Amino acid sequence: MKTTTLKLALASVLGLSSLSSLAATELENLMKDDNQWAHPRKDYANTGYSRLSQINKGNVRNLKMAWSFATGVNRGHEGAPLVINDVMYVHTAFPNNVYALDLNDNQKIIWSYFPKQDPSVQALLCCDNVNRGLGYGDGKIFLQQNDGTLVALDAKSGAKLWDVKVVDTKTGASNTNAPHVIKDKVITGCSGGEYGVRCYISAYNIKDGSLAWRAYSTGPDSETLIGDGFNKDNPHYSALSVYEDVNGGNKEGGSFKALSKDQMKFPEKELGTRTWLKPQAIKNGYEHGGGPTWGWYSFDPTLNLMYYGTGNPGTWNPDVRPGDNKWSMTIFARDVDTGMARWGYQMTPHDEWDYDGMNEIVLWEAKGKKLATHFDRNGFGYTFDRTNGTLLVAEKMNPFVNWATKVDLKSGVPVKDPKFSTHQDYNAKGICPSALGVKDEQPSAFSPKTGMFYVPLNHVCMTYEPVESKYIAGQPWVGATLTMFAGPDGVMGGFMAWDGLKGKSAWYNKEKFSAWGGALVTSSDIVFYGTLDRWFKAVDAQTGKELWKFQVGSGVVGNAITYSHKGKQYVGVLSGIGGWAGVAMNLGLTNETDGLGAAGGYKELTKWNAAPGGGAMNVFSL
Amino acid sequence: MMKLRYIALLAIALPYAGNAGISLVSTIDNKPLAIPGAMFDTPAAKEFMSSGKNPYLGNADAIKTGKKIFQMYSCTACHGAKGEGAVGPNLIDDKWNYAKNANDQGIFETIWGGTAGGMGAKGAGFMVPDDPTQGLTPDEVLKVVAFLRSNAVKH
Repeated sequence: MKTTTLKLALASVLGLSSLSSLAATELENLMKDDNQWAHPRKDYANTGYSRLSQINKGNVRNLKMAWSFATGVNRGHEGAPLVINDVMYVHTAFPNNVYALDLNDNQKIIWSYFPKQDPSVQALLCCDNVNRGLGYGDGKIFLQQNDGTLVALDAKSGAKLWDVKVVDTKTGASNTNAPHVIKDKVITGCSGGEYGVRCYISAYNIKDGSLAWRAYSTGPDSETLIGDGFNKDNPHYSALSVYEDVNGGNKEGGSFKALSKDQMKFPEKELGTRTWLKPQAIKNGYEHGGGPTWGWYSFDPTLNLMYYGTGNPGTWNPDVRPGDNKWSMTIFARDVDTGMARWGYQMTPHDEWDYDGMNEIVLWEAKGKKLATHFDRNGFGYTFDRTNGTLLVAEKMNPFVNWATKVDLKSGVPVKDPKFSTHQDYNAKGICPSALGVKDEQPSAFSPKTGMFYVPLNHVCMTYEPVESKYIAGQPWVGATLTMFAGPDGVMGGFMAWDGLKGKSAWYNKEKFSAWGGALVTSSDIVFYGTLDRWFKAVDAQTGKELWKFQVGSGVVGNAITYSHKGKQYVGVLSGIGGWAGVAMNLGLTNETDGLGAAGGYKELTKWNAAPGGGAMNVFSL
Repeated sequence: MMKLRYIALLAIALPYAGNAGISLVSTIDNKPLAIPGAMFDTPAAKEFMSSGKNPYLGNADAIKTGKKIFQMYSCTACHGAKGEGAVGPNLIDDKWNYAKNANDQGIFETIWGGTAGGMGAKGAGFMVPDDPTQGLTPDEVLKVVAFLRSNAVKH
């Protein structure tokens, strides 16, 4: 404990140093410059929005491929390259190679970096060998390798400046997230919700790789960095329990009735341990409680708060972890200098479906209010007052969501439908959405011009059967079997525009497969995204009407970006099918009987893609 | 060819095998699997060690237990509820990454010692090298195989 306090104190001192703030200013200027794409989602607010407008509705039909770059690596290429001062930095799926391409010299390779990683780490990556990209700050390119190593490379030469081990693969932990530079720190996460890893989020000082702070998702307040003033304006978010057991709760036939705000007991402390009631599958459930943090992190410089979501509690069998299982499935707002939590809201208390809450939080303003919007795997679209976490909107993103009838805005608690409660050795059927969520990691985009969110979607339901499973360090600890199938629309995906104030979609397009690529929106009101059947598309931000499309070499699970070079606007996207939707295909699972991933509509992916999917960066211009 | 190789390895593997009979080799490197003979402590495990045949095939009780073990160790995470494949290979069709998995001895070896393709060893003393109390016993592996074989889909 003493060391933590000391590190926290040290962190605040470093935060004041002029050198660090210079670096922070440089990054902030790059984010404001639309010629660049210097941050995973372009800016601190995670908007995926660019003011570039040379490509407009009148000429977008003339977009042609300008150049492409094959990465030499197969399987899922999630995330997107960075573009900084006429250099594009491209990452790959495992083994996470990095290439710096000179945009001033026909994309000639300036430097490359080939990490040496133990191939056995690939077995830990649940959902394909993905890596979601790079971070930039202080003249350094940051790479979070799958094996848990965070590396700082000199952006000019590619020379390794420092590295640090973020997670220990011996415990079953790994990494897939993009490191995000925020001010003088680089923030990185943890994967391993299916291995009983007790996950955390970490902030390292970009200068030397020293740990500034680390906040666990579960456990004592001292380790989840929860202190005085936490949830001050919404103390009911810190309730000991938000449900009462019906028919015995955690057993076949049992379910959970939402308490009203008046019935709840709050505020309480130490909920990261006390909401893991006895008996757990293991002695102290929170010690292997999951709560992975592999998403996209946003930041509000005026509040000095960063925002991220924590994932599913371990194991997937809910019966052996009674209680609300805090702070899994939670949106946290933390002071970026100290890591201390300002507010935390649990979206899916006592998860029964693996609705991993790690999706991005997008920051925006409307009617003079500072807002945050999040599209959760559980199928609800949430809008918060980001200053204090007050829940303003929580609406179903699609009517097929059935595990809950609604979210009670007063209490913040989802009202669960007992029909879809899951219990050990009972195969619950027809649950929508599936564990893939109505949306998975593929990030949405927000246009301040239209005031709309542009959201790539899954349309998949599931059966879910919790089973008994044993925790062994470093071994999978899943505790449920599931099968997935196309939702009621008969397709597996969609793409929509969403009004974050009304909690309603403005337009909705069906997609044959899950739309597993992240969205880009520009000030010329064009939305770009890629699909698993190899299309890279431009659609009208107002209507969703398709304006242009081009077929790339492999399905797209990467995020669309735009930048300009020598006065010309380019749009680009990584191709290379994979991720959860494509992993079965990459492994050659194509039989009728094959399970998750290849089942139902996903089996058809082999009609559109060679396996395993080859990685490439595709760049287009007029 | 395969048979010849097994015979050649027999002499080396004997000290580990305890009982006379088959000798087990790793799917990773074809080297002998060092399993203490005392671990083959049930009639079925002894029978397997002498004949290389899995006596549990078709045994309803063993299949039921095998399913439980398959779930208990989260095999389902990669291979699906019935072994039909998910993010790891299908184990109930007729396509094998390692041809020897089609026979009782081969699939025992693959489960016990793991593969170079991403699956960790599941045998006791192999799963967690510094904690031999973790992992499956030979009898449990045979039951898991009985469960998988009972799900096999004919093509």
